[in-house]
Amino acid sequence: MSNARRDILAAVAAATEKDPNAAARVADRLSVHAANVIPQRGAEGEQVVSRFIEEAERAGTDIRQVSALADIPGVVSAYLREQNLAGDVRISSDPISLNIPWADEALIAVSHGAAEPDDTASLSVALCGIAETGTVMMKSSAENPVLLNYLPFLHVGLLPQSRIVGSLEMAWSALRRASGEGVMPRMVNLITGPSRTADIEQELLMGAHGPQKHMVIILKEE
Amino acid sequence: MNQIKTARFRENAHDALVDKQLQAVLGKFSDGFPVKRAQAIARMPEFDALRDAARDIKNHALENLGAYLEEFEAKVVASGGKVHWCRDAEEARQTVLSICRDADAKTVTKSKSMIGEEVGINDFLEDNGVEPIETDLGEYIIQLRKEPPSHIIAPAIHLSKQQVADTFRDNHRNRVSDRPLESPRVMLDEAREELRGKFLGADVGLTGANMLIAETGSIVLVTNEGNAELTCGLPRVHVAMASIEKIVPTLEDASTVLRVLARSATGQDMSVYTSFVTGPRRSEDLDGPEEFHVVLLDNGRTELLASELREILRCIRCGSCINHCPVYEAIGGHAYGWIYPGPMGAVLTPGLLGMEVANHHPNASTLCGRCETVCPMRIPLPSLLRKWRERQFTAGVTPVTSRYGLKVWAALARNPRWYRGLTTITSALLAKVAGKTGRLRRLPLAGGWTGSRDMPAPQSQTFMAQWRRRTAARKPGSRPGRS
Amino acid sequence: METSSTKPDAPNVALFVTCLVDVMRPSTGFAAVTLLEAAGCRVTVPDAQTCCGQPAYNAGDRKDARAIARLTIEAFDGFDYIVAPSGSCAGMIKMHYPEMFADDPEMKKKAEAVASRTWELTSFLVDVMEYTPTDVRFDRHVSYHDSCSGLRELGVKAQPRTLLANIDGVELTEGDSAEVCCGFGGLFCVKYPEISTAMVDKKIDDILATGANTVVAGDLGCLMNIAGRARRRGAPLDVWHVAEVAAGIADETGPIGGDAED
Repeated sequence: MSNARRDILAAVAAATEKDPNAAARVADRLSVHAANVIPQRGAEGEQVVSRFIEEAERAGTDIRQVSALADIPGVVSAYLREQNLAGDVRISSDPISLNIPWADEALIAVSHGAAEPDDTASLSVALCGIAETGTVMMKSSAENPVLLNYLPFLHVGLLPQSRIVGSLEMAWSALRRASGEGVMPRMVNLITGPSRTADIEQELLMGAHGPQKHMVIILKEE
Repeated sequence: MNQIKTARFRENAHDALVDKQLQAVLGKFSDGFPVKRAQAIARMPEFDALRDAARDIKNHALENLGAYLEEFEAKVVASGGKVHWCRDAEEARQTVLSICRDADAKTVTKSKSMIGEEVGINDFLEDNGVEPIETDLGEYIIQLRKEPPSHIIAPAIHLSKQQVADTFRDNHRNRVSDRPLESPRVMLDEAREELRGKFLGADVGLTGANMLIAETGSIVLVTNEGNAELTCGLPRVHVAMASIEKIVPTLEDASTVLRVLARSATGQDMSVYTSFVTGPRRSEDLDGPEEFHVVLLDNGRTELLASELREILRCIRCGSCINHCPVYEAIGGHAYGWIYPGPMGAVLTPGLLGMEVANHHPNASTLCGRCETVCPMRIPLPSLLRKWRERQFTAGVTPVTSRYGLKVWAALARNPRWYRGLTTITSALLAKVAGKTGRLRRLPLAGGWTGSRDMPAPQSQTFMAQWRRRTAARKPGSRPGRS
Repeated sequence: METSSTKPDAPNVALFVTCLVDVMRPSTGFAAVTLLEAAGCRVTVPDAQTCCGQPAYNAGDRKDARAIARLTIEAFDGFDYIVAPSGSCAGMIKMHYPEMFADDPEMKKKAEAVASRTWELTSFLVDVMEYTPTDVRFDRHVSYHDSCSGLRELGVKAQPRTLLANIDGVELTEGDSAEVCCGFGGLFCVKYPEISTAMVDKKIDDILATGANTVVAGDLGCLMNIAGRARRRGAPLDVWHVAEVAAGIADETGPIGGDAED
C-alpha cells in the first residue's frame, strides 16, 4: 500500500525535528554499531568459562564438559538413559558434529537433516556461548537447521570452549565475522535453558513448547 | 472478544473488588514479579546505567524514526521479505487476511502479540474463515475462555488453577472427562500435546515483534516457552505484526534493551528464547518459511510522536509498571476495560482510543510514582497522566462537579482574605458538629469520603487564626511578617 | 538542592503550613514551629499563604495552579528556607513550580529560587539543621508510613526514622508495604472511593500485621485517610503526624480522628 507508506512516513517526518545532520548521524550509528553499557558480568577474560557454566545452570541448563569429541556419544547416551528416553539423535551436519564417533555408542541412532516432530533428541553446534547470561547463540544454516533447537524433547548444544565470550556484544562481533556486515542468517537463536512457563498461578514449570531439557556440552579442544 | 469497556471503569473496578476469587489471586501478586525483579536487579549493579542507555537509544530512534524505518524496510526486502505499511487497524486486518488468503490458510498459529490484540486480529480472522490458534499458554487459556488478557506479560494471571482445569476439561474433548487435572504440571503437559499438532498443521504463523532492528532488517522475538519459534518456523508463511515505534537502530542497541527487558518483566536475566528473524528461509536452509512479511502499523503512533505524550512510545511492554501499581493490585487488569492495564495502559489507551472513551484511565491514579521508579525506559508516567488530565480539563471532559469544586477552591486559594474567612468559619462549624468524638461520620458533599471513612474533625480554629492571635499577643500592635 | 556542609546559624525559616494542616490539624503546624525553633531557626509564617496548588495542578487545571503558585512564590520570597510539614506540598513547590513557568523566564527564576530553598520538615530538621529531639518520650509501638511524594520526589525515608529513633519509648517495626500508597491521592480518594478504600485497608492491615498500634507519617492527607478508615473499621490503630510525636505534643493533642478506644 504505497499510499499508506507515504502517509506514515510523512506523519513521522512532521512529528520529528528537521535536523540537517540527522541523516549523517543515523548512517554513522548504523555503520559503527557501537556498544552501549556492558556490565561487569559480561567482561572478557579467563572467568568466562566458569561464569558461563554458573549462569547456564542457574537457568536450568545441564552442563557437561568434555575434552574430546570421542567423549560426546557416551555423555549423550548416559543422559538419554537417565531420562528414560529413546536413543535417536538428529545431529547437525556441521563438520564438528560429523566428526563425533557416534558409532561408539550402540544405543544411539543418529540421523541428519531437518528436525522431525517425533525426534527425541537433537544436537546442534553453537556459534558462541555468552557467559553473561549462560546463553548459547545458534545461527541457522544448511548444517544447523533451526528446528533442531526447538522440536525435540532434548536439545543438546555443542559449544567449543574457545567460542565462549563475555557479552552478547562480543557474540555479535563473532556473527558479523562469520556472516558479513549487516547480513544476517534467517535465524539467530539465543537459548538460555530449557523452555518454561509460569502462566498458571505463577508457578514456574520447566518444559513448555520448546525442548523439555536443554544440555550444553562444552568441548575443550587441545 | 476485545470489546472496549473503558467507560465502565468504575463498574468494572467494583466487580473486581467484590470478586473473591480475583482478590485472592491479586493478594499474592506482590510476592511474585516485584520480588523477582528486585532479586535480578540486586545482581546487576549497572542496572540504572542500562536504563539510562536504553532510554537514550529509544529517544534517538524516535527522533530519527523515518530514517530507521526506511533502513529497516530496505534490509527486510534485501533479505527476501516483504513490508506492508498500515495506517490503522482496519488496514492491518485486511493485510493479514489477504496474506492468509493468498496462502490458502485454514489455520494460523499465533505467538503473543499485543498489537494483534489491539487490532482485534483473532476475531477478524475467525469471521473470515481462518482459524487463529494462540500458542502462548496464557493466551491459549484465555482464548478458550473467550476473555481478554488481564496483564501484558501474563495474560491469564487473574485465573486460579481450578479455573484453568475447568477450561481444559470443557475444551479438550478427546480425553477422559474425569482425568486428574490438579497440578499445573499436568495441565501444561496436556496443553503441549494439544498444541503440538496445531503447530505442525498451521499454514501461517503470526507473531508480534518485541523490537525491529534497522541495521539488519530483523525482528526480535522474546519468549520463555519456545512457541514463537515453532509458530514462525513450521508454517510456510510467517507474518510479523509490529507498530512503528518498535524500531531500534542496531544489534548492540537491541542488546541493551534486552538487558533491562527480562529483568523488569519476570526477574530473569535473559528470557529462555530470544530470536532474531531476518527474512524467509535461504536457498540452503532445510527448514523455515518460504515467505516472510512484516506488517508495520501506525494506528495512532505518529499522533503520539507529535505530541507531548511522545515518551510513552519508549515502552517495551515489560509490565513492570503494572506489577508495582497499587491500583492494579486492587482491581486487576480487566477493570481497565481494554488490553493495556496499569500505568502504561492508563497513558497509552487514551492515545489510541481517545480520551473521552478512556476518560477514567488518567484519573484513576494517585500519582504515587512507583511505576516511574521501576520503568526500565524511565518513562515519566505520572507526568504523562497529568498531561492527559490537562488535556481533559481544557477540553471540558472532566466531570462538571469536579470542575466546579476546583474552581471554587482555586478562587479561594488565590484570595487569602476570603480563604481565611471561609476556612475559619468551616473549621469552627465542623469542629462543633463533631463534638468530643473528634470525627464526623457523615458530611454533605463528601459522600465519597464518608461512605467508607470517618472524617477527622478540625481542631476548631485554623492554624493561621491561632498564629495571628499568638503573634499579635507577643508583639502588641505589630502584624505578622518577615523578621 | 543546596546542601550545607555546616549547619546554618539561626536561619530565617518561613513555614508553609499547608491547607490541610491549617484547617484540619493546626497542632501539626505548632509542632513544626516548636521543632524548628528548637533546632535554632527563626520562624515566620507568611500571612498570604493559602495552598500550594496541588489540587488544581493534579486535576489538569494548569491556569489556576499557576495563579496559586505565583501567589505562593511572592509570599515566600526572601527567606533562607521554606519548610512544610508535608512531602507532597514541599514536593509540589520544589519539583513542579519551576516547570510550571517554563514559558515565563522571569517567573521561572523566582520559582527556581523558592524551589531551591524549599524543604519537607523532617529532612530539613535532620539533613540541614542536624537536629534530633531530646528529652521526648512516646511509649508506643509504631510503624511508619512513607508518603509517596516525600519518598519518591524528595527522598524522604531515613529522616523521620532518625527523629523517631531519638524519642524514648518508641518501638518501630517496618511494615512490608511501608512504601506502598495508602490510597489518598488527593481527589482520587473521593473520585474512586471504592478503590481508595481497598488500598487504605491494605495499608491498615499491613501496619497491624507488624504488631504496632500506632502509625506515624509526614503527610496529613495520608494520615486523615488512614485515621478515617481505621476509626470506621474500629481498627486498634492510633494516628499521629511525625512532627507532633517529635515535638512531644502527641499525647496531649490526641490522635487524628480520635482514639482507637472510642
